[in-house]
Formats: sequence, structure tokens, C-alpha cells
Amino acid sequence: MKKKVLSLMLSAAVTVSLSAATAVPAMAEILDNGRYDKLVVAIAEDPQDLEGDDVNVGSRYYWIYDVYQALFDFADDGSGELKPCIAKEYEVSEDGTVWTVKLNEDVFDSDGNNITSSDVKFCFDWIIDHGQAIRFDYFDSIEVIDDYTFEFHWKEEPPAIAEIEFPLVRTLIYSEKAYNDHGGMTTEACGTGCYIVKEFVSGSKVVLEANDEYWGLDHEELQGRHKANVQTLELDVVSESSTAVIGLETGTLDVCHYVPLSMSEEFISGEYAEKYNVETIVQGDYWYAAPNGQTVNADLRKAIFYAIDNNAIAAAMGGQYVPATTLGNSAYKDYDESLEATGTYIDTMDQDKAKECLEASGYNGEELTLICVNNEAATKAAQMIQIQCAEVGINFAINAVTNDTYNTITSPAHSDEWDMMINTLGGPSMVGSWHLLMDNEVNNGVTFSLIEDEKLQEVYEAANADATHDAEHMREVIDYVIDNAYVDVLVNASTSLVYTKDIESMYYREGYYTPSASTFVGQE
Amino acid sequence: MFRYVIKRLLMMLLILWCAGLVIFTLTYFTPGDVASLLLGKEATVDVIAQKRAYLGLDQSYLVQLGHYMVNTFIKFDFGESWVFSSPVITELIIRLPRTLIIGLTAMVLNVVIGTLLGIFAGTHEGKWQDSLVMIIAMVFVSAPDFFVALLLILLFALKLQWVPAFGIDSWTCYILPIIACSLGGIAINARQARSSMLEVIRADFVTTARSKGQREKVIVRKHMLPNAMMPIITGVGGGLATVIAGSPVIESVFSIPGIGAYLLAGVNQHDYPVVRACVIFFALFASLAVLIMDLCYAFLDPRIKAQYSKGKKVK
Repeated sequence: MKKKVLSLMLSAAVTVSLSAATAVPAMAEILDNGRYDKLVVAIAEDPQDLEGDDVNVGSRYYWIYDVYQALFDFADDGSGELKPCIAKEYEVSEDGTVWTVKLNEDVFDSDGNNITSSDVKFCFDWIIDHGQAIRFDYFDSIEVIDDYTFEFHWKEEPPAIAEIEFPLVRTLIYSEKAYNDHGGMTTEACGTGCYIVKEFVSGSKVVLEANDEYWGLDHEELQGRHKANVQTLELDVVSESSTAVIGLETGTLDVCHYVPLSMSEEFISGEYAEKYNVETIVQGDYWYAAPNGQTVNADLRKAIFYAIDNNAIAAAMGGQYVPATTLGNSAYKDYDESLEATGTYIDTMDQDKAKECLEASGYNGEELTLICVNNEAATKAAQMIQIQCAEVGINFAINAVTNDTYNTITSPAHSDEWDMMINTLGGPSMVGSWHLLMDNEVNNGVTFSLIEDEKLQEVYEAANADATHDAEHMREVIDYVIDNAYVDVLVNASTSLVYTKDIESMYYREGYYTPSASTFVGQE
Repeated sequence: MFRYVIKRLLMMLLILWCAGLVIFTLTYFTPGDVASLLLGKEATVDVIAQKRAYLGLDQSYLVQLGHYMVNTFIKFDFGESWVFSSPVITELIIRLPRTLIIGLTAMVLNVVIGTLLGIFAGTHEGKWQDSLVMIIAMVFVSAPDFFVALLLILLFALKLQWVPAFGIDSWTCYILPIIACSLGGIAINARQARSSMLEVIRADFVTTARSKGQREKVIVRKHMLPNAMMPIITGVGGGLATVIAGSPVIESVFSIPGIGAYLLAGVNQHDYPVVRACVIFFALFASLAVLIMDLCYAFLDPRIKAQYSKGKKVK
């Protein structure tokens, strides 16, 4: 009897505590200050730390600009125009090598420190001293003129804003004092953005709270991304997409951008359709195959490309990829339907043509090396290419290596160790994504795939220059690349963005969804 | 006994020193350029060289080794993560409790439930109870961790909504990971305990105890169990050493930032300070676990205790 009573009490205690711990939270609402109460967003990668040194790692892209800001923003309409942020204006010298930049004088971080020119210099020096100056090719130095004016000195006149994107738009600015006060800002953040980091648990979550003292509240020239429409924004690290889907189903998560297409049906028309909106996202990064420009001749390149079927590769890579149809995709703002490469080897598999080109190439059946990074998607794509090429008589051996080995082997010094590479391309624009494969300044006179072609350089530079960055010049590049079979694009990554119906209109910053600045039902 | 423990602790220092030397050498000679990996394919040669200099990778093997050994074993400074930018020791200390909560609780469940099931099966040898326990044990030994974890999430988090599917916000978040971690161990321990019980069940001292008219429960508790426990303790000792390493699979499925996930990220991204510190940490924990196990042997087996005592007297 005693045992029975004890076990009953124990069961009751467990049931009560479990119910209490997992009780459904109260419906979120619009607060008196006009903000949505709390939004929980899934991120796939660990943010690692709170330093503002690299905006691209650990899914930071979705939230880091809420906490920190750069000198300028790119216009959210995709025009590539510079918009004021911490800096309010700039003047370019006659020879284009000096930019005089004026800062807004009322920029304060969340500790109340005023941002001055010397803070800007500190942030740039930090990046250079720590070996983080990626895509700083034109940057030479910064000269402080007064508290709110400084000069950028470029090594030569930048041909396009895209070439100085990192110093202007991707280098986050914070005060030197805050950096020192917060121990290098690895686990504590102090930025000038419209949110403050309230909690950071490495590997688990980042919780942001709207900053009521945000300096930009009265600056109407700032873009909509700088509005804090949510009071508390919680970013939970959920690396497994299947776990994130369960998080949405149970209501633990409100937003997730990496729901596989194969799992999105229940949110589109199934059990959870009433609770969530679904948007299919074609991501900017796309997969390409590029033969070695020094060891593989044009006929053999064409033979390989005509042997490849993008549909089969997308299917082999899993439910998150769709076949690519041009050197870029609709995720880029400079994409245009006229840039599609239909009717070429990019969207056409033609084994007869492949064999014809193969015969003309003088290929004698020797083993070619296909190099890729050793992740699951790349390996599957490589295996499918290997099978398809074997069908027309091209013999590929796969060398799947780690990222660093890949970077080493594909350098010009190891040009005899590989014959074709497959990997991803990405960038701020479609033209920006071509940088690695078409700009011969990447490898001192040759492109990343070791192509040395002055005409290619010429058409690429024309498409990349701000004055001639248009569909006509981009088309010229695509046609030239296809004529010479320099690159074949394979697939685009595509996932579903699933978000609560409480969000009335999702805000997009340079193509990236930005829940903090979105409009919520009931919000004015 | 005291001298034995001191001797073992000194030995442990030597083991740690050797582990440090080996892991440093292995990571140093691992092919690939770390700076290039950290910066990505868009970094220029100059920037990569600058990064290598900043990380101290441009120095010779002996210089780097010297710095590492002095910092680690003299200053107890494991360095900063190249990826997370925070001191490795701080991160380990933050993450360790989460890994230990899952690992140690799972281990306690393994030992208690596994041993009881094994004893139950052993004392019912050949009957349906024995078969049932062994069939269940076989199922859980065969089922992969991640598969069990996903099934548990589907049932308890999604369908029944009793516990959260992921996170570390409350103690209920740890229930499913602990169960997922322990099921395989319970099955292994049950099989081990059953096998050990069957070995002692027909031993002469058990027959003697029965012939003296002792009750079966007393025979099991006082005579059979202590003798059957030795192989179980060996298993527990080995298990303890691996508890600290966490389970990258379980931590990943349940989004728990523990040591396993940290080490996995370190290995994937060639974050050598993290890898090296974790190895030293694991070596320390494994050595302590083996020492504790040996002391348990002495506690349970009078013959071994006598050996230690004898050694002391002789000296």
C-alpha cells in the first residue's frame, strides 16, 4: 500500500512538472510600444562568437546587422547603390583614389559611446592585424581628419563599388572603448544597431532585445532594415533540419529558412498550413563545374558539359536542389530572364554531341581527376558527373578533400593535380559571383580555374564596372563563357522559408529575410 | 594504498604530457593550410600569410611545440579557439556540465537498469523472462543512436508534447537525450550482467550457500552479485572515460552545445587549440576513470586489496 501511494505521488509530481515545463506559451501580441512581443527563429549554424569580424559565418547574416552596423548599406532594392548608415556621405577625389567620408555625429553604441573616426580606424586596423582583410584588395589605409571625418586611401581607383564592398558595407564598426570594456566582444556585444544582445549561449542561442535608445530612431534616411519591429528576437541553433521542422510543428519555433522542399508540404497545404506561410527560396549560391584551363582543351570541356544532366545531379544531391539554367539565379537582384542560357550545354544533355566533341578533343581515355570538397552534396554531385561522363567514354576519378586541401590543390602551383573542380559560387550580385572564375587577378594572371584569356577579362570587367553593369554586358559574358566552355553550372540550392502567419509582410535585406524589420499582423 | 594512488597520479602526469606531445605533432603534420581554411577561397596569398603569422603558424615545429607545452603544462593556458575566438578552457567549462548531465545520468541508468535486468534474466535463465529481456536488449544494441533519438522526438515531443524537442532551457530538455544515450548502454550492461551471473550461478560457493539454507535473495545479493560485478565495473570504467567526450550525434540531434559538438566543430574546421585541449581533457578524465575503477576493484575484491596492503608492508 505504502509503495502504491508513493508511486502514485511520484507519477503525479512528474506529470505536473512536465506539464508546467512544456506549457504552451501565451499567444504573442503587439505590445504597447507597437512591437511584436517575441519571435523565435531557427538558425542552422552556430554563431561561434559575437565578434563583428566576419559577417558571413555561422548564419550571422540573418541577425548581425541588427546588432552592429557598417559605414554604408547597400540599397535593399538591389540597385547596388550605397545608402547612408554610420557614414552619412562621401566625396571622391579627382583621381578616385581618395574618398573623404563624413560620419553621422550622433551615432552611439548601446553603452552610450559616441562613434568617431578613430573608432573606424580602430576597426579597420583590427581586421588587418588579425589577418581578416578578405576582399580588401583596393584598400590601402585610413587617415583620420577630425572626429567625424576620415579618408579612405585606395591603392588605385576602384572600378566598381562591388570591388570595395567589404570595406564599405561588410566591415562592422564599433567603439574602441566598448571593445575593451567587453573583453574583445567574443561573448558580449556592444554595437550601434537597433538591437542589444541580451543573452548569448555559445552553440545554443542568441537573444536580442530592441534598443529603445537606438541612435537611428530619428534618422528617416536609414533603410527599413533598421527598424526593430520585434521586442525580443531569439535565434536558436538547430542544426538538424528535421529537428527544426518538429520545432515548427510544436510551436517552439516561429521561423525557419532551411526546411527541405521535401518536408514543406505539410506547411503549404497540410496540417500546419493555417499556422504558417511558406516561401520557396532560391539561394544565391549555385554549384558549378570548371575544368582546368591549362590541362583540359575546349573540345574536351564541351564533351564533358554535354554529357552532364543537371536534373539527374539535382536529384542525386537530395531534396534541396533544383537544376541551374544560367550563371546565377533569380536570388540576385541583377538577374534578368534574358540572361537564361537555355538551349546550351547548361540545360541540355546531348550524349551524341558529347561524343562528337570528345572525338575532336584527342582524348585517349586517360583518367582525369575531378576534385571537390568532401561534403555529402559535393560528393554526390561528383559521383553523378563521373557516371554520366563514363557513359560517353570520359574517365573521371574523384578526389574529395577537405576545404583547406581543396584550396591548396586548386592553386596554380598544383595545376597538374586536378582536371575539373566542382564547388559553389556566390556573391553580392550575379556579376559579383563570377569574380573567382572570370577575374584573372584572382591568381596573378589566371582565374581560379586557371584560365588565361584577355577577352574574358575584358568582358568581365565591362559587366562588373558600375557604369556598364547591365543585362547586355552580362549577356556578353555568359555567351563568351558558353562559347568557350569555361564553366558549366549545375544546380541551385533551394529551400523553404516557413514563418508564422503573425508576420504580415516579410522584410528582405539584399535578398535575405530579416524578421526583425518585418511587419506583423496588427502593427501599424 | 596511499602510495599506490600517488604513484598512479604521477604516472597520469606523464600520460598527459605524452598525450600533449602526440596530439600536437599529429595536428602539426596534418596536411592542409589552416589559415586558408579559416579565411575561405576568396582570401589572397598576402592575407593568408598575415593570418598564418597572427596564429603563429609561420614558426618552426620546435618553436610552436615549445610554446604549446609551456603554455599548456606550466601556465595551464590552452589558448584561444581559432574559430570561436574565446579561451578554450572557458568554453570547455561552460559545456562540460551539459555533457556530464547527459553522460553521467545515462551511465547511472545503464548500470542500475542494465544490471538489474541482467540479474533478472540470469536468475530466470531459459524462461520467457530471460528471452524477453534479451530480445529487448538485442533491439537496443542494434538500433543506431540518431534513429532512436528521432523516434523519441517524434513520440514524446511531437505527438505527446510532454518534453521539448531540443534546446537547453529547462531540465526537461535533457530527458530525451539521456534516454537516447542510455538505451544502448542498458542493453549492453544487461547482456553483460546476465552473462556474469550465469558464470557464478553454478559456482561452488553458491551451491555451498544454498546447502547452508540461505535465502535466494541473500545468495544473489551477498555471494553472486559481488563476484559478477567485476566485468560490469570494467565496462563502466571504459564507459566513464567516454562520457566526457559526449555524443556528437545526440548533441547535434537535440541541439545541445556540449563537448561532443565542440570537438566535432573543432575537428571539422581544423581548430587545433580546441582539438588539442579536448584530447588533453579526455586523457585526464580517462586516467582518472581507470584509477577509480582500479580502486573499486580493490574495494570489491579482497584479494586485490591484500596485494596493495602487501606491497605497502614489503616496502
